[in-house]
Amino acid sequence: MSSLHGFTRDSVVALSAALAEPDWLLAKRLEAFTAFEQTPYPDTRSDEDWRRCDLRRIDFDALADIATPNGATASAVTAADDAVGTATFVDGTLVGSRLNAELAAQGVVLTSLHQALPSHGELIRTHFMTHCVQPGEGKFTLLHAAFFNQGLFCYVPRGVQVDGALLAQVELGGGSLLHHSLIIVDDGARLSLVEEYRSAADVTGLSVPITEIIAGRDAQVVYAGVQEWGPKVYEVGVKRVLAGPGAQVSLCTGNLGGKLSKEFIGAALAGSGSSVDLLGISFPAAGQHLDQTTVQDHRVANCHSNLRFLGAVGDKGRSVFRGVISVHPEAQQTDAYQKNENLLLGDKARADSMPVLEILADDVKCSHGASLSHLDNEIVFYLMSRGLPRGEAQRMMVAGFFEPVIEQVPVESVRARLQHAVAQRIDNLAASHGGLL
Amino acid sequence: MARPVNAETDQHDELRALRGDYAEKYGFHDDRVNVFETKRGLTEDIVREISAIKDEPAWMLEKRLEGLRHFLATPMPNWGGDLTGINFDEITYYVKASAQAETAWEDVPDDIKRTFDRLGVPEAERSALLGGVGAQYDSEVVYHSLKAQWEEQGVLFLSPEEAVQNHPDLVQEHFGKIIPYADNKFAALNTAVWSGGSFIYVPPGVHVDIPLQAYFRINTANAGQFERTLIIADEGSFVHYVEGCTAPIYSKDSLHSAVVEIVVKRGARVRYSTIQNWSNNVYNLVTKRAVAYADATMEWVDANLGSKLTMKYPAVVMLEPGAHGEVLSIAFAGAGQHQDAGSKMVHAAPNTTSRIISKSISKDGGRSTYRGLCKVYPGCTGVKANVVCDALLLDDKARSDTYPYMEVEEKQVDIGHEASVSRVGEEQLFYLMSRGLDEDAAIGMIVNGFIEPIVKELPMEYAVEMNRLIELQMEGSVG
Repeated sequence: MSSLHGFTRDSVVALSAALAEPDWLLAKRLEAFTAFEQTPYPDTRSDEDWRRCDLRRIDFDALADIATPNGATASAVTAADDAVGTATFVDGTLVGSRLNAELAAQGVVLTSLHQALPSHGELIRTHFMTHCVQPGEGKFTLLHAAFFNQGLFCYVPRGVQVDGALLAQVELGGGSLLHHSLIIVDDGARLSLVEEYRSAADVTGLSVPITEIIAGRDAQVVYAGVQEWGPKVYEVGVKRVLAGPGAQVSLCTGNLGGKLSKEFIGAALAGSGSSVDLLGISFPAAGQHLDQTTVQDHRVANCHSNLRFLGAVGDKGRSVFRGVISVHPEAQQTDAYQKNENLLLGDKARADSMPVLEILADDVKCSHGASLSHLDNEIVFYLMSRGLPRGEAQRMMVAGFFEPVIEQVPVESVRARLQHAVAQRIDNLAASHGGLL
Repeated sequence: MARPVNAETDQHDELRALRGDYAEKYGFHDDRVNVFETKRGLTEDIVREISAIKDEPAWMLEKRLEGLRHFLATPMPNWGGDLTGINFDEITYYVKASAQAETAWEDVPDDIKRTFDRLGVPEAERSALLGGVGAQYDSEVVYHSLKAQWEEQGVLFLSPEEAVQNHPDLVQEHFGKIIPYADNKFAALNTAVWSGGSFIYVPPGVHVDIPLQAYFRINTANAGQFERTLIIADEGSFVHYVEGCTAPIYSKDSLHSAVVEIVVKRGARVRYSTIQNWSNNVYNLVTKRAVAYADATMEWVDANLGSKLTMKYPAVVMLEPGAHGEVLSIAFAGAGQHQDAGSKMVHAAPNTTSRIISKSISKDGGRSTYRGLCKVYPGCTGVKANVVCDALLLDDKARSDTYPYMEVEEKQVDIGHEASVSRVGEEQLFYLMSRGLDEDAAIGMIVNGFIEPIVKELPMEYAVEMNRLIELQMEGSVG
């Protein structure tokens, strides 16, 4: 595969040819590219979703080398032996995968989108960027639809229960990576899946990922997506679940790395009786800007959604949370909750929180809460009175702050890594403050 | 003389008597020939004309022209409510109904007096519950009085025009300093064409312990009312200012766009209460802001019941340590109404505190929106701020939105926000009905309970009026 420079029509055609795509997929890319060219980048002064996110910091032209394999192999990524299946992507190419034989025999698929095209072409055509996330939503969804790399395809057939969790690892060696994850959990099926995004510390890159989770009737899905990009990676991504009737979904995001990251995280409650939990942690420090926009989109009656986003902000870190509970006129008996908690730890830290309710039905129970505060000195004092040194007590409190969300991540080794990543940030922060927070 | 609070039967009779609709109670209009009105539309000539009528000094005209230039250069806001119905060319910007402001009620022209009599304004003054009254009819203040005891202590309660003539230093020091003409399009418009309003100065240490009242009335169709209010509470003083507003129901829309600036100096306290009951064809686009210095307290009590669209976010900018800001807000949106109300709390000094309590009710397709900002600047340690907003939806056509913004740039703070949206609880309703109340009365009782925490903060006269107005709004909410 040759290297592709620039977000151009030639790149679209070359990428599609290199991936040996069917005509319909190339046509879809080209349609998106045409619209991409006609759509301006979001106006960060007037567009509410972008108002607090300075896109001028991203040099799109310089980053427009579409990631292609550069000789890196899966060895760069830690193997997770507690997952029942893994798929590893390096620079937009599947470099290795394994799946428990019993699951494979039941029809479970864990591979790349392109490898699944021959066997599951119709399923992909039905669900890939059609009704969960649509190309025309904005500049970046169009960019993604035109230039997506070889992404993840995971399918769990009707009624199949996946015990244990699957793990997808995504690594970026440089340039632009547009990783797509299409996760389809059919009626009555069950799946736990974790996606991890990483890059080495010296990598400069742009990531424009989209994760689509389609949960069928009474399906049960636990998903966690964790990004630990290096400090020179910029990201604009979408994660969304489309919940069918009676589906129960938990979508958890860990937003830790990157220089600037803007994620749109959404739950579309499209089937009666569905229930979605949205959970998130973020911990910007050292000049990082981590920005999360969530939507709990209640389209039909009798659904339940619950959101909990926890953010700590270290020195010169900036955190933005904007969450919307949107209740359509038909969505009676909606029960929705939203909570955003922020812990301000660093100097020159800034946190913006905008929890929004838009309610067009009357028979609903919707509420939200948001808080921005510092470590509670009374609790610190209590822990010190039990013999802990001050620094230790503070560390314990910050770690404990994140625990309610981290404990929801289904893979033990990923949980441990998240706890480690949080601990490391606390240590770095404490080190620059003379051991105390 | 105060109305006996516990004479419940009297109050019930009164309430029953009041259960007409808005058209009967407030919606009448007087067929009178105005003393003067400007041509429709807004031009530099009109601004100069208004300034000339008021015989203003050059510096005020200059401010007006600056405001006009900014107004013309600024696009309409693209957020909040639907402003497309406003046609700036159709509005009459200045309407004068009476030759001058009177200080004796008897001297006010009869038809105008009748209007305010029907609205119960002088009655309130006669009953000695108020320290002073101002009444504004269209563009001009027609009546002003201040009780002698406050006058003796140096309290000023004037129309801003009088203040410009007699106290130019005070006006120049503060006018447009808290809300500059460039703050927003409607503040610019007000700066250009302002007329009427109140000017209040309370000297150091003076406690005006009964409220000052102003009553605003738009009578002319398609008129704009642009009153300008400036309140200066000097160190350690206290004043409570209460305003009410109504208008007749015309087929064409009117525009009310006030600017209210308040300075609360060290240790002073100002409470500003509004019962906004414009008819449902008034665009109510108001900018209200106070600055609070060390240990000062600013309280906005804001009830929005009328208007077609209200966009109003009373603000407190806390400039020195110990300042406290508070907003208690009620909004009621019925058919065809959009109440886009809220508050801004700007913490610009350490150890400042603020509290916002907002209650909104929507029915018959009405839309109520809470929009608020809590901002903490770097270095403002020890800030505590809390926001609670609750919304009640009375039927399936109503809509409620909540848009709080929290921007915090300092770690040593405690900021909390909670909001809930719900309908009238079936269980509460069932319980009350099982005790013999009909559905109408039961819902009325639940609504009254819902807004009680704010109504109880109003002076008694106004609390009663508030409850009456809610009754009016609730009329026929069942079946």
